[in-house]
Amino acid sequence: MFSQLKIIMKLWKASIIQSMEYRGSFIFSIFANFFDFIFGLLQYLVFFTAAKSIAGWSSDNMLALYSVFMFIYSLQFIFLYPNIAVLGEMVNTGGLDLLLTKPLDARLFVLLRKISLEELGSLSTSIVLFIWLISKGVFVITFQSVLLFIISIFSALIIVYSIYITLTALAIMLEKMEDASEFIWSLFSFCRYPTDIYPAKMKFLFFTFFPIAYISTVPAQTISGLGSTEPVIYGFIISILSLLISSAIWKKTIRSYTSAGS
Amino acid sequence: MKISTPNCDNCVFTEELGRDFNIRQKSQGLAASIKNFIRPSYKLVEAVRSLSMRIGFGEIVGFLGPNGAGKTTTLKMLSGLLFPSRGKLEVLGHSPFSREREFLSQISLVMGQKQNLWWDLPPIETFEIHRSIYNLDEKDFRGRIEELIDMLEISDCLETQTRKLSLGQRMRCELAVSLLHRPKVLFLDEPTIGLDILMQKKIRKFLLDYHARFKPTILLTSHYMDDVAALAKRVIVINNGLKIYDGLLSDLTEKMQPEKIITVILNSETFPKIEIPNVNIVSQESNLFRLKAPRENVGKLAAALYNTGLTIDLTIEDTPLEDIIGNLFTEKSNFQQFRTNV
Repeated sequence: MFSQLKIIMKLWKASIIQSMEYRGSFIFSIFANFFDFIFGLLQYLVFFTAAKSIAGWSSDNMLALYSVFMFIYSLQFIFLYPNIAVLGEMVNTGGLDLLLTKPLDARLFVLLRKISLEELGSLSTSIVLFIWLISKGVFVITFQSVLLFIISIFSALIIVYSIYITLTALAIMLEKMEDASEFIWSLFSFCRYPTDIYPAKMKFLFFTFFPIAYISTVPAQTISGLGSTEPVIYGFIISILSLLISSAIWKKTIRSYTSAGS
Repeated sequence: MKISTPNCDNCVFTEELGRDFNIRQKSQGLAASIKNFIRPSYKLVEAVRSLSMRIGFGEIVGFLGPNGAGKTTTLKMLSGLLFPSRGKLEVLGHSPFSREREFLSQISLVMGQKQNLWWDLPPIETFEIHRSIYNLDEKDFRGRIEELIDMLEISDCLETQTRKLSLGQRMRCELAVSLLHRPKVLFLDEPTIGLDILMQKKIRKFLLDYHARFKPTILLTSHYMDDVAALAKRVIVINNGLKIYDGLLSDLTEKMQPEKIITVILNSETFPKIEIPNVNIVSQESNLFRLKAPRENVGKLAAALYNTGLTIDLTIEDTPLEDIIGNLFTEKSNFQQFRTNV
C-alpha cells in the first residue's frame, strides 16, 4: 500500500508539473474557484437578511455546513474529478488499456492518478472559514464531538469515493458518459443545504439509498452540537456498505471490459 | 480463470482460446435508431474462435493476419486486459486475467497507436514515474536508462515535451519506457505503424539488438511484412479467429510460393534450349526474359544459363512477402488450398 501511495504521489507531482505548463489557465482557475466560494458564501448571507434561521439552522450553523461542504467538495474536485472527467476519452482511445497492464491497483490509479489544484483556493478558504468558526465559538470542541466529527468526515469521504468508483465503473461499461460531471454537480447541489429543509420522504432517501446527508449535514451537525451519535454511526456503516457495493461493481465491470478496438 | 495444469516449458501457452464480443447492430436512418434505442439488437462476434499455441522462452514470433483476424484481441487476452470467453491461457506460468502484480511486472504491451508517455511532460518524467511503478532502485534505473538512450539514440529528446516530439522520436521513447523494467515478455502491436522507412529500420535493428542482449519472448503483430521478416523466424497466421499456420516463415513462403522469378538479359533475342523441367517463360521484351521455375531448380537453371555464354545479367527474386500473405487472405481458393496443404 505504501509503495502504491508513493507512485500516486509521483503521478500527482507529474500532474502538477503538467498543469503548470499552461500557466495562465492555472492561475485563472485558482482565482475563479476562489470567487465561486465567495459567491456561495454571499448567497447564505443574503438568505439570512430575510430570516433568522432555516429549518432550525442559524446563520452560524449554515456557515459551518458551508465550510464542511466546501472542504469535501474541494477535495473531490482536486483528487477525484480530474480523473473521471477524462475517463470516457481514455476508454475510447485505449489509454485505459495501458494503465490496466501496469502492476498497480487499477481502481486506485484510475480514480486518483491525476489531481487538479484549481480548487486550492476553495479548499484553503473553507479551512480559514472553519478556523474562524472555531475562534468564534460556533463549534462545540470536546473530545467526543471532535472524534465524531472526524468519523463523520471520514464516512463522507468514503461515500464520495464510492460514488466515484460506481460512476467510473459505469463510464467504463458504457464507454461514453459525458454527463457524469452533471450528476456530480447535482449531487453536490443537494449537499449545499441541510437535509432538514427537504420533505420527509426526500429526507429518508438522503439518509438511506442516496446517502448524501452524511456528506455535509451530519458532519456539520456533529461539530455544531446539533446532532447525536446515531447518525454518525449509521453514516459510518453506510459508507462501508457503499465501498463494498461499489467495489463489487468495479470488479464486475473490469471482468466484462471489452477494451477499445485496435 | 483456472488453469488445470501448470505449464513450465512454454512462456505462452493457449489451448482452444476464444473471445466473443456482443456487438450492437443498427441499420441506417432515424427510424432504425429509434427502434434500436428501444430494443437494441446485438450480434455475437467470435473475435478469436479457437486458438492453441505454444511459444517458448526467448522466441520471437510474428503474429500475422488481416484486419479483424483477432490478433490484437489475442494480445489483449495474453496481457490480462480481456477476460477470455473460453479455453486455457497461461503466460509465464500465470493466468493473465488474475492481474497478479508479479505477472504484470514481467510483461510489457507496446501499441503503436497508443502511448504511455505523458503528453505534456518530457519523456524523462514518464521514465521516473515508471521507475516507481516497477520499483527500480536508482542505480538500476540509471544504468538501464543510459543503455536504452544509447541503443535508441534518444538523448536529444528526453527533456522535450512529448507533444513536441516527432512520431519517430515518440515511438523510440515509448519503447524505452516500456522496456525500462526489462520485461520477460514483450507484446508488440504494430510498433512501427506510421513511421518512415528509415525509422522502421532503426526500430527493427533496436529490437534485434535488444533481443540478442536480453532474450525476452516477443510476440509481434505488424502489417509491415519487413518487420516480421527482419525479426521473426517463426510466424503464426490467423484468420477469422482461427490459426491457419504456425511454423517457420521460410516454410510459409515456400508453401505459398513454390516458384521463384528469374529475370535474365541475354545477348540474343532467342531463348536457348535448356533441359530443366517446369521452367516457364512468363514474358519477353526483346532480349529480357522473365521465367518462373520451381525453387529447387533455380540453382540449376542459373548455372545452365551462365553455361550457355549468352547471359549478360541474371536476377532471382522471391514474391514480396506482402503479396504472399495478401494473396493468402484475398482469394478464398488460395486460403482453402493453403489450409489443405498445411
